[in-house]
Amino acid sequence: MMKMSSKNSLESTVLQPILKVGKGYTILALFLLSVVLLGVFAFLTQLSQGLAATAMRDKIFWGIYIVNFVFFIGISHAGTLISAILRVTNAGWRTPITRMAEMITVVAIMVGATQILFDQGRPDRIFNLFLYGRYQSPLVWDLLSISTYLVGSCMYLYLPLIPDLALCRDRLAGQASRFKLAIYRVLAVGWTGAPEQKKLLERAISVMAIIIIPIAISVHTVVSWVFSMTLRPGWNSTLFGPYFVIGAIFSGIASIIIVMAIFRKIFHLEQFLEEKHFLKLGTLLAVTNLAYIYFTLAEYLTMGYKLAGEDKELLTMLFAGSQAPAFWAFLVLGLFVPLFMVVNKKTRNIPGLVVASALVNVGMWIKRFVIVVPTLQVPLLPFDVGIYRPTWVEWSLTAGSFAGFALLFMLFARIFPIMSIWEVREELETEKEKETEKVIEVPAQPQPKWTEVFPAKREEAR
Amino acid sequence: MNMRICLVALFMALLGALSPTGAAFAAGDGSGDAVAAGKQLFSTKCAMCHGAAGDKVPGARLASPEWLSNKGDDGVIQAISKGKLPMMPAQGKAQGGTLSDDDIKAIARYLWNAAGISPEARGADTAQVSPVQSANVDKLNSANTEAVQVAVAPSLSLVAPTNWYRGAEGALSASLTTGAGQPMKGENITFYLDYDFFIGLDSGRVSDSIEIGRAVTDENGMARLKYAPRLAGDLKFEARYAGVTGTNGTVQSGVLVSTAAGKIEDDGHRFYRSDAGIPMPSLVHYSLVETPSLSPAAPFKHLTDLKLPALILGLLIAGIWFTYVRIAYGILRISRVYAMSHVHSTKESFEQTRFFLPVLLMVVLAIFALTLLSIIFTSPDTHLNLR
Repeated sequence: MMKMSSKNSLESTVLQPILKVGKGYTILALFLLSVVLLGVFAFLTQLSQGLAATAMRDKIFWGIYIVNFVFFIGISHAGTLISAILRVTNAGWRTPITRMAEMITVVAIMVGATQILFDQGRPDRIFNLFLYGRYQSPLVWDLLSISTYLVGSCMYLYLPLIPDLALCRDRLAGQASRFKLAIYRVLAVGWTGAPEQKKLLERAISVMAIIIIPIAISVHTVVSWVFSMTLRPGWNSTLFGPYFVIGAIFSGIASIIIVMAIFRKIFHLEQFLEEKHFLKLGTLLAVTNLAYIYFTLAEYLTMGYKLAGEDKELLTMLFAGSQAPAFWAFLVLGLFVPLFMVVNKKTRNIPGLVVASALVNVGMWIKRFVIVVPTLQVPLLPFDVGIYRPTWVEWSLTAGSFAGFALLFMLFARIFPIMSIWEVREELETEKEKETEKVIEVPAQPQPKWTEVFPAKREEAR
Repeated sequence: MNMRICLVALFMALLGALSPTGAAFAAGDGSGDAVAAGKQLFSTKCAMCHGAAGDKVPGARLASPEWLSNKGDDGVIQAISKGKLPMMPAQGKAQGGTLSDDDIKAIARYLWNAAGISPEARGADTAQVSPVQSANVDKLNSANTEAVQVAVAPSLSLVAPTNWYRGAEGALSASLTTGAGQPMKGENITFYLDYDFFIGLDSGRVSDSIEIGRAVTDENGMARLKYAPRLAGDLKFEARYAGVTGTNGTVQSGVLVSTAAGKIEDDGHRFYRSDAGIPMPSLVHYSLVETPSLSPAAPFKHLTDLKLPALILGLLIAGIWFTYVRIAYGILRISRVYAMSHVHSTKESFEQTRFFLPVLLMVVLAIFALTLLSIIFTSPDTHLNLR
C-alpha cells in the first residue's frame, strides 16, 4: 500500500496541517493555552511571594520542578538520540518518525530548561551561572551540557528540514500566509536540490547524527551527577549515569509512540505511520524496559544489601513507608505492566502500545519523584523526616509546563512539515526499486540506503 | 616536649661474624686471662644487645668510665647477674641465666679494663676519674675505628617524631651507621608498627609487628618514612635492617632492629579532614577543588590552578561547538550554491536574505561557544574571596 502512495498524496497529507486545521485543533489549542496561562499566573504568584509559595523548605529543597526537569530532559532523548541512532544504523523504517522525534527533543529541552528557572525562585539570578559559574560544580556541567545539547538538537532538527522548507516555499506559494512563506524563504537558505547542495547537506547531517549521540548521553549522565555527586542516601550511587541514560531512552521511546499515535489520528497519517513502525518502536521499548528493570534491581539490591548509613531509612520509606505507593506504582504500573503489554500478543497493537507508553511515562515521572524527594526526606541530622506536599503553585506550573509542551508541538506542526517528506520519498523509491529488481530477477545489489537518497553519491559509489 | 628517644640495638650475628666483632674491646690495657675470658664472654653474650663497643643501650653505657664508676663494681656485677627488667634479662645461674659467678666477674673486669679504670678506682666517685682515664676512652674509640677494617657490626637507630597527631603525617627516621659511625648509604630499612590486633579485649594482648613502609638510606645513612598513624596513644615503632648488601665493603648478615616509641596525640579532627582533590602527577599544579587558604592571595596567582581539567573540558566543548559553527558554514555554502546559479535573476536584497540565516547562525554559535568557554577558563578565578 505504501509504495502505491504517490508523491502528491505524501506531500498533500503532510502539508495539509500547515494550510488548514480542523475545529478540534483550535479547541485543543485554546484549552492548552488556558492551562499555560494558569501556569503563568502561578509563576507570577511565585515571583511575588518567593519560593515560600511552594512546599519546598530547608529540608526538601528540590521538589516537582526538579522532577519535571529530569522528566523532560529524559523525554528529550526520544528524539535526537533515537533518530540519530536509527540514522547511523541506517534503519529505513525510521524516515516517517525522525522529524517528530527530533521535535520532541527540542521542545522537551526547552520546557525542561524552563523548570530550572521556576526552581530558582529568583530567575534574575540565572545569569550568575554565566558570570560566576565554576566548572567544578555539577550544575555548571548541566549548563554546558544541556545548552550544547539544545543547540545541537535544534541544528539536527533544522538540517533535514531544509529540503522540506524549500518544498513548502515552492509548493505553498500563494496558499500559505505571507509570514509563513517568509519563514520558509529564510530558513530554506536557497535550497534548490542541486547535487552540490545535497552533498553538503548529507555531510552535515551525518556529522550531526554522530556528534549528537555522545552529547545526548552526556546530558542525562550529567543530570544524574547532580544527584550522585552527593553523599545523600539513594543518590550516592556510581550507577546513576547509565541508569538515567537508559531511563531517558526508555521514556523517550514511549513519548514518540504517544506523539506518533496522536499525530497519526489528527493529521490522518495512517498511510505512512503503519503498525509496523509502532511495533518496531514497541520492540525498542521492551528492550529498554528490560534494561531499566535490570538497572533498578542492581541499584536497590546493592543498596539494600549493605544498608549503609541512612539507606535503611530511605528504603523503609520506599518499600513500606510513606512513599511506598509511589514506589510500587512506578515498579508495577510503570515497568512490569507495560512490559507485559508489549510482549503479550493481544495487546501488541497500536492502542495497546499507546496505553503501555502512557503508563511508562507516568511511571517514569513517578520514578523521578521517587529519586528526588524521598532522599531529601531522610534526615541527615537528628531531626524528623521531612514532609513535602506540593502546593497549587507547583502543580499549576507543572500542568502549564505539560500544556506548553503540547502547545509548542502543535504550533510547530502548523508551521513545519511533521514528517520528513524528502526522506520518506527516498525511502519509498528505494523500496519500489527493490520491488522491480525482484520482478526481473536481477540479484539485488547490496547498497547503503543513504546512497539512494542522493543520486550524485550513488554515482560515486558505483 | 623533648624528643623521647629510646635506642636499643640488637644484632643477632651469625657465628662466622662473631669472632671479629670481639675486636671492639681489644683496646685498653686489658691483659691477662680474666680479661680475655671476659672479652670472649662479652662478645658472645652481651654484644648482641649492647653492641661490640658496649654503647648501643643508652641506659647502660658500658664503655663509659663515668657510668661504670657510678654503678660501682658490685653494681655492675649485680646488673649482669640479676638483670634489669624489662630490657636486660638476668644472666646469673642463680637467676636462671647461663653465666657462672666467675663468668660475670670476668665480664665486669673486662668492662672496667676496657674503660681504662684501674681496679683500685672501682666503686669510687666520678670525681676520681682522672684525665688520664678519659684519654683512655679516646683510645678505645680510635680502636673502634681501626676495627672497621676488620668488620664491625652496623648500628641502626630509629627516631619517632615529636608533636605527632593522629592522622597527621610524621617522618620516622632511622639512621644506619657502621660500627665506626660511618653512614651507610643505599640500604633498605623496613618500618614496622607494633600493633595490637584486639584492642580493648580483656583476654590478653594479641600483637605483632605490621609493616608500615620501606625506605632507603641516603648519603647520611638516614632512611625516612612518612607515616600518618591511625591510632592515638603510645605506639611502638620498629626499624629493621636485614642483611648487608656490602656497599661499605663489610659483609654482614642478620637482622638489626631498632625500636622507638611514638606518642601520638589526638586532636580530634585532623584525621578526618581529607585533602581537597587527589594529588596527581601533572605539569601544572591543580586540584579539582582547591584547598581554601587563609592568607589572602594575590589575584591571578591561581591562574595555573585547575588548568589541566579546564583545558580538557574546554577542548571538548570547543571541539563540539567548532563542529556546530562548521555545520553552519556548510549551510552558508548551501545558500551560496543557490546564489551562484541564480545571481542573474534575483535582486540583491533577496540574496542577503539567503545569507542572513547561516551567517547569523555562525555568529550566534560562536558567541555562545565563547561564553561557555569563558565560564570554563575563568572558573579558577571567579571566587577570589575563597582563596
